[in-house]
Amino acid sequence: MAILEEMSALLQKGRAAKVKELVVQALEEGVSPEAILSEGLLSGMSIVGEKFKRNEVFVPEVLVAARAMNAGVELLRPYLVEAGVESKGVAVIGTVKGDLHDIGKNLVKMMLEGKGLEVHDLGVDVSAETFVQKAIEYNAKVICCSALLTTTMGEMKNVVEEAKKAGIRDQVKIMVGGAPITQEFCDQVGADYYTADGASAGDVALKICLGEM
Amino acid sequence: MKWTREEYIKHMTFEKTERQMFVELFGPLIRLDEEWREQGATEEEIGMVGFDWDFVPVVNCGGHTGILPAFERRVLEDTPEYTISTDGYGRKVKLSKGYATIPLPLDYPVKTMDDWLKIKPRFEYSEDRIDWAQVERAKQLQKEGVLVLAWMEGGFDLPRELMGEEGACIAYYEDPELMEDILATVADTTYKVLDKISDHLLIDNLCTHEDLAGKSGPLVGPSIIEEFIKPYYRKIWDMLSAKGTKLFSMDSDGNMNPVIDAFLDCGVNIMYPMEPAAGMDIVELRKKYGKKVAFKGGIDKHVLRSSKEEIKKELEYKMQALMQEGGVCFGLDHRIPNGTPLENYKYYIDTAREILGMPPRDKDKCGWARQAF
Repeated sequence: MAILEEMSALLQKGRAAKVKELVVQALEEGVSPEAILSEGLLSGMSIVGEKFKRNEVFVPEVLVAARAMNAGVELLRPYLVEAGVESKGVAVIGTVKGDLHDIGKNLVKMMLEGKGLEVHDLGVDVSAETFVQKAIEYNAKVICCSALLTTTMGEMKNVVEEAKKAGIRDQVKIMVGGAPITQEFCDQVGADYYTADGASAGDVALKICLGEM
Repeated sequence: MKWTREEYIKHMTFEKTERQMFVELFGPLIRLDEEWREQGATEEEIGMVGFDWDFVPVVNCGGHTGILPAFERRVLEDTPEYTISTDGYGRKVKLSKGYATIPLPLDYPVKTMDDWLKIKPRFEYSEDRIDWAQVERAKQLQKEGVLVLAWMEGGFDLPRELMGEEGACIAYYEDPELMEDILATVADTTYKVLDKISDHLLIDNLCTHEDLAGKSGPLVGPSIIEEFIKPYYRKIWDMLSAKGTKLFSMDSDGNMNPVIDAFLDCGVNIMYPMEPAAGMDIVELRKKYGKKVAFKGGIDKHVLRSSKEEIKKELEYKMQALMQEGGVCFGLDHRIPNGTPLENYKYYIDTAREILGMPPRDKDKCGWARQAF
């Protein structure tokens, strides 16, 4: 549909005001909220994510695109609720205890939202107990842990252990990422998935929520 | 071994290399000292001077190009877990004790042009930005072989410090006039400071700190660098290089591969610390860029926590003949990580020296200076 293709293209350029205009126009033309979301907004953000993965666009371009997507989603939200359209899954995300870095975590959050997931951002310096309590509270299928420091990455093991202690380890997948994190480290601490970049994290989280991983 | 400025400049400009340079750029990460003490390290080893490191002594040229006057630093809250204080930018910052060495901001002073205009005078030129006594001191030390450094604010880093990473990244698109004004102001100030100083003293090495990349790539791409950062860099570098400055070094962790060309175009000719875990391979980059850019670092710090075989493998690859033609200060790609056994560290040094054809470590020779510039 031409209007949704245009919406997707404008979203990729970060044109929030134009995206909002087109969301209104599409609704007036009778396009379903679900189609606007998936074919206009999420498809645009997905292309941005792929370009980001290939280093064809960078953080500023991702941020302005995410802002445009969120502007469109906010307008659309009441219509999505009315139509009974649900998110594709729930994730909680945060930077581990002792670590105050947030740009990597924020990028992953945007990529997950761009996949249609409901994401609860727990912020930075998040304790293992909080990760698990919030995962239970929001019925999350994914816990995403971020760390930038070699001195804080060990906290990820505490999140895994805390999930076991709370009895939810088989109900939730734990994803880890950040500058010092590797697949080897992920295996070592007993987490489920490591991804090297935010866009790949979005792909994996979506597959988890759809039961494909 | 202590190098002279002349030797260092010739080495880093590929002019003459009689000996390889093997350095420790940053030193240990927090808490490594406790681990090494338990393993029997001497106090000289804890202080890094007990390993007979190569280093070139440095001195600041006497110019101040950053915020002046800085805001008063005050401790607001101090607990066993963290300290909250205010820093020189007027930000509230938090240090997580036992985890980090650098406090991180909890807020940022610039969100709008009006915010910037309030603090802009602190970035404008004034006579007190030049410490003429320090200029004279640097001039004397230079005659004794000390390398003279001039620091300039990072074109990405300064707006990031003022606005936060996301705020700065958004501003390139949504408030470009603000970004241009910040960079034009600091360019003008830096130009005036370093132009006046370099009329009296040859600046050897222009240095900047950007830290603009993560493991999967840089935060900003070539087009942002070309549009916003290049005019600033070129204004300073063109002036200084015309007056004889040979070296322009930039510090950035992470995967910088997509923006190397853009920064070379800005005048940068030394990059560090070249982080292998982020995909930076100094051998491949030397093949690609030849003598256009020199490197410092490049050796994977994480390998020190693995086996001696892995350490040797990393050193043999990074220190192959192609890399021994000048333009490299071999060293770890950042601070020595926790969990590095002292025995492995010594093996790393001894093996590297052997590969580089250097004499065995002289335990009586004490020497080290941070080489991250």
